[in-house]
Amino acid sequence: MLLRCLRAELGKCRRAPVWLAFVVLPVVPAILGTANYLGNIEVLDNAWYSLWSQHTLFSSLFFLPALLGVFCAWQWRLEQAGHNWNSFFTAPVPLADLCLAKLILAAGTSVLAQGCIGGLFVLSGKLVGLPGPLPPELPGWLFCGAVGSISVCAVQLFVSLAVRTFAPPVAFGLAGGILGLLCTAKGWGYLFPYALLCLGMRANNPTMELDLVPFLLSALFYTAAFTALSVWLAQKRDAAAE
Amino acid sequence: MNLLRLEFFKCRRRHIVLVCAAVLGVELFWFGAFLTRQDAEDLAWGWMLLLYNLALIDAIILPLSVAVLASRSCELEHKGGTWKLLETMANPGKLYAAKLAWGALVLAALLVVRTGIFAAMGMALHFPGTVPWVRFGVFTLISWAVSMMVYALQQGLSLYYANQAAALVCGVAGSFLGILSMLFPPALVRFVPWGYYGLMALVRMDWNEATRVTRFFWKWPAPADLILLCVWAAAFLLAGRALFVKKEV
Amino acid sequence: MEIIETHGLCKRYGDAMRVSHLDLRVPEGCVYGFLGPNGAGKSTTLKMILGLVHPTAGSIQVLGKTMNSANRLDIIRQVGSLIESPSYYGHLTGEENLRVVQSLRGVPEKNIREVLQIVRLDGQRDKLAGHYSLGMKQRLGIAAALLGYPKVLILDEPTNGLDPAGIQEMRELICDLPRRFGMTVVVSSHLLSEIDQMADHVGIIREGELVFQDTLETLHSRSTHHLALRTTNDPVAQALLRDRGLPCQEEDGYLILPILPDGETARLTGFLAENRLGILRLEERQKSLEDIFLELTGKAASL
Repeated sequence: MLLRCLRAELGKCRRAPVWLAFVVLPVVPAILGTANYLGNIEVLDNAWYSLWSQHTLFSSLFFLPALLGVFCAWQWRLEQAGHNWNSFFTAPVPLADLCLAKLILAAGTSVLAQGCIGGLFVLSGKLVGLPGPLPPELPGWLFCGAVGSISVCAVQLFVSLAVRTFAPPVAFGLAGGILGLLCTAKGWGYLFPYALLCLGMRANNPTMELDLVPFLLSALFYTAAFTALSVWLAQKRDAAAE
Repeated sequence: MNLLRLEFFKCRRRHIVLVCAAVLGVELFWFGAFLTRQDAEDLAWGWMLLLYNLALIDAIILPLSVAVLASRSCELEHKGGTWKLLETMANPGKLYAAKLAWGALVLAALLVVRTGIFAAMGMALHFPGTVPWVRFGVFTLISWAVSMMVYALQQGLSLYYANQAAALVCGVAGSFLGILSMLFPPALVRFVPWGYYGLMALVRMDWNEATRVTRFFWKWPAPADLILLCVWAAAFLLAGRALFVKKEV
Repeated sequence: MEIIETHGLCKRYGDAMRVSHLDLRVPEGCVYGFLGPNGAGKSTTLKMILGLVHPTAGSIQVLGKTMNSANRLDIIRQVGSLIESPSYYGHLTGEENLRVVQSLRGVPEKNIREVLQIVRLDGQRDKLAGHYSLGMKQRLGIAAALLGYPKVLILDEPTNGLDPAGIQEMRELICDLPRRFGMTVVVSSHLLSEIDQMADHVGIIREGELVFQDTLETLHSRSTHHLALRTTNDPVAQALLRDRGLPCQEEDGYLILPILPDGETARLTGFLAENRLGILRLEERQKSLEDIFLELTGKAASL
């Protein structure tokens, strides 16, 4: 059942190059981060770790949440256009599966984004001629980044479902990212979904030890809670056209 | 004129005021949080500190906010399929101009209110010296001009593509590039439209490595930069308008 | 005077010629039915007349003036239209939607209540247009087209989404418009029966080409009357009639004869009775509008 929904969601992505943004846009922070690293090489003396911080600091704070917001808003927009709500709600599959399929697709996109960020990071480092081995924590950063992204996607999917216009949820994503920054500064990072993304990627402190248990629990909580909220909202709401 | 009035009429129940209030809210929140982390020595810079950070906040928040506004205005036409109705009663060129004028007025209102609130905040916090009204005025004008340039780009995208994803991705990228461009050398920044928030900031910071002292100083924007800003704005405007007028309904 | 005239109107999309050398003539004060199968180019043609789509070739005259980019809006100001699906702002009420149109057309405000009453939407005017049913949205679209009482009304499938009572009202309204307001109405539709009851001039388009353009009577006259006969012994009857010089063919168990005047028919029945043939059925038939349409367009006439 879920697999069918997932296949359907993938089908909806044809000729819709929204995911392209996640592949192309990370090039920008990669180039700029590398340039900035080179420009301040005396201060940034921790080779790979400094480069990572340069690549991901701003992108994980505001850029990725907002971009994920666009993707999630686009996913729901597909149903809003052309009276698609009617066919969506009368599909012979449980509503939970439909919502879950959207989350899984968004999660897949997050993983793709993390993969591109990681790939560009390694490429930039090699091009610049950074010595030594790749940081062994890299897969961990990417994995935690993906986990954090998924909780952000869950929140954004809910907001886009609730607010049936395109743009405001994206702005909400940016605002969430900003709030996440502030929460992290105050030390409440584990409690706020948008902060999880930045923390997971260890953007401001690559050598930081992440408290894995609270991190994963928090991510799991937010993902489950907001997905459940989405399903509840979808069930409660009438399939109004507007 | 009639078309402009209609644009405001059409925005009923679109919660534009709410969006603007949210933008102001985020800016206030950010600045408030920033202020609590400052010590007395930094606060002595008062107005300069305020304007410096406002330019920074603008670079992050305004590109996406402008994108959201433009998207709201254009999306309601796409959703209702109203182009074919409007174009039997008005010129596409005039429609474009009316939407642009609407954006200009809304942004102007937003930025004037923003300036007012922050000036009041500065006074409440007893920043040293009198309120630099002239500089505030120039700052508001610059913010508005750069935002209008971005608005022209965003409106062009929102009108051309019925799917607002394209315009908003551009808005997100803009916010991102806006803040990143602060790290570029000025020569490079001129090529990034969203970098003009920082490029034309009235306050510059000078961080002396040896003494580890930050120092703010006033700086008027270079006339060359102003001209470049107009060039960017004109380019976006003409391209957006041409694409929209040529578009078949 | 022809209210709308096109000369050699063409529209090409990519490699396909969607509208090809169309010479439309819409006389003043008539109800012109624009018929054609799906994808024939009806909406494209109407959009070109309104200037929403740029023709690849050809010229268009509306109200006696040739349309170009300079005078297009002045001319179109006197044309009301409803093309494809109705255009509306979902977040505005019905009345507010009409206010937008009224403002742009520069017509008096009282017109809004008047047209709402004409389309019977007056009770729902304070409801958000996004909450309207399909039929109500359709009526709103027609109300918007009627605002300002334009000289020409172009309606694309006006009865779409209306219930039978609504369809009848719409039909009566459309038939009334030329007489009541002096409007010329161009109605494009798939519903042949509707066009049959509404229009006095008809244009049939097929794959971008006009295959028929004349009055409705001329269209009807294409339907040939004939007689259909069934007897107790058809083959014998057929042979006898042939000997008598009457051409007849067998079709679906009936013998098809050309139409005969009453006297001839009476003599025929007597003749058959003399030859001990009982007459089981004798019917007068004519081709339906659907059959004519099918012949002209060579396609199924249904939606």
